[in-house]
Amino acid sequence: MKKKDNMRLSMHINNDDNCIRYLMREMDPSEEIEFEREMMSDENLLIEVESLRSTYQKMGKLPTISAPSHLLDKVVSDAVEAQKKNIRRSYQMVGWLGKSVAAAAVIVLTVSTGYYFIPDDSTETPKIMKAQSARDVANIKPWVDRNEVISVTDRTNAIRSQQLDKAYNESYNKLILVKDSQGNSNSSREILFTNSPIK
Amino acid sequence: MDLIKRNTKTSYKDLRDQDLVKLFRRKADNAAFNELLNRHQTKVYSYIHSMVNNPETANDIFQETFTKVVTKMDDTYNEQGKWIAWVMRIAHNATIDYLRKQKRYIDVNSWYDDESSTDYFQRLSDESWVAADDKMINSETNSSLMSHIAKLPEEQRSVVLLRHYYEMPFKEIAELTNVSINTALGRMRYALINLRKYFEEERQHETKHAHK
Repeated sequence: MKKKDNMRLSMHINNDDNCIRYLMREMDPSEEIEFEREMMSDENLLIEVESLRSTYQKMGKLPTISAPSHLLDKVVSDAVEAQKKNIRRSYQMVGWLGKSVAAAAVIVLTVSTGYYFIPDDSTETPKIMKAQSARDVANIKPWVDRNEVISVTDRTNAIRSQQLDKAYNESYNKLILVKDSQGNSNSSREILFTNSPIK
Repeated sequence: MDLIKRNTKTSYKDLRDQDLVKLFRRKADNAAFNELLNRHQTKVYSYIHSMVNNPETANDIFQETFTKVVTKMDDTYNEQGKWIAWVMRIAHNATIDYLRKQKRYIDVNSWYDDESSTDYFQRLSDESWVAADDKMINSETNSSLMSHIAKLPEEQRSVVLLRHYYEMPFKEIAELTNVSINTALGRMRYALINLRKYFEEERQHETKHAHK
């Protein structure tokens, strides 16, 4: 795979750049053999490569220079100090994150619990909503079952029929008018919409 | 933790770069960082120094490089990668930033002193380099080589020095300098051709003086 890549690479690289790849030993063995064969058949290429090699060998004399010792000492002490701060900061970050999560959890718990237990208080309802509710209630036209569409009776058993009538009347008496047709999802309001009195 | 326990039994010198970096990151271990610096400082400093040709500036960039190394280590260094290659990238970028901020490349010819008939690098061997505690061999060959290197365009100089001090493959040089591999190879070739020309001019100059 690597060999294929190198072959593909060398196809895209011209002979001038191949001189550098050869000198810097960046060719694989098969490419090297191929290039050496080419040099043997092309004198100019051979001269060019040897000339570049001779210049490149002079680069070996480039000096290696050490940083001054006082600079090294300073770099080490600064680095250690900075890293200590980084470590301290990361611990603080973890502590802060933990506290934040705990605080958020407490707030969420408090709000959700409070919302559930707070009774429906009309003082919390905006005035405009109240006025709207009053208008809606005034506009309600009660539907009366004059044709006895809803007939809850038993025509075969008289005693059973009386019991049903009694239960029907009791249920009817429990019904109250809808006070707030704009109600929300609060549990107490949902009960109100059933038109049953609140106990 | 295993590493730290193991470390009590083994010397820092036996640890790999990655292990030393882990020790430094977790414990801000002074000795671990010292060992890392001892291993690589010569290459880093030589590269910076050869690029900027000024000991004071090289000191500043060297210090800036390691400040960035510490601040960026937690965010950008992947412990699987070679630490020195990552440091080298920072050193290279800091050096290039400096050179671009200066908006000028080192012009050695402009430092030529008529009275002493010497250029900056020939004088440097007796002054700044020694004062900067350098360990370079003070020979004429080195001075002329350095002055020739300094005459190269920044892009070519950078490729030559990255290759020389880090033995960096051209693929990595291409990535570091944001060019294609062909361009990196081409820059190396032109650098060698230019150096060959400078050496030839120097030789002719010396021959002319010898005849006089």
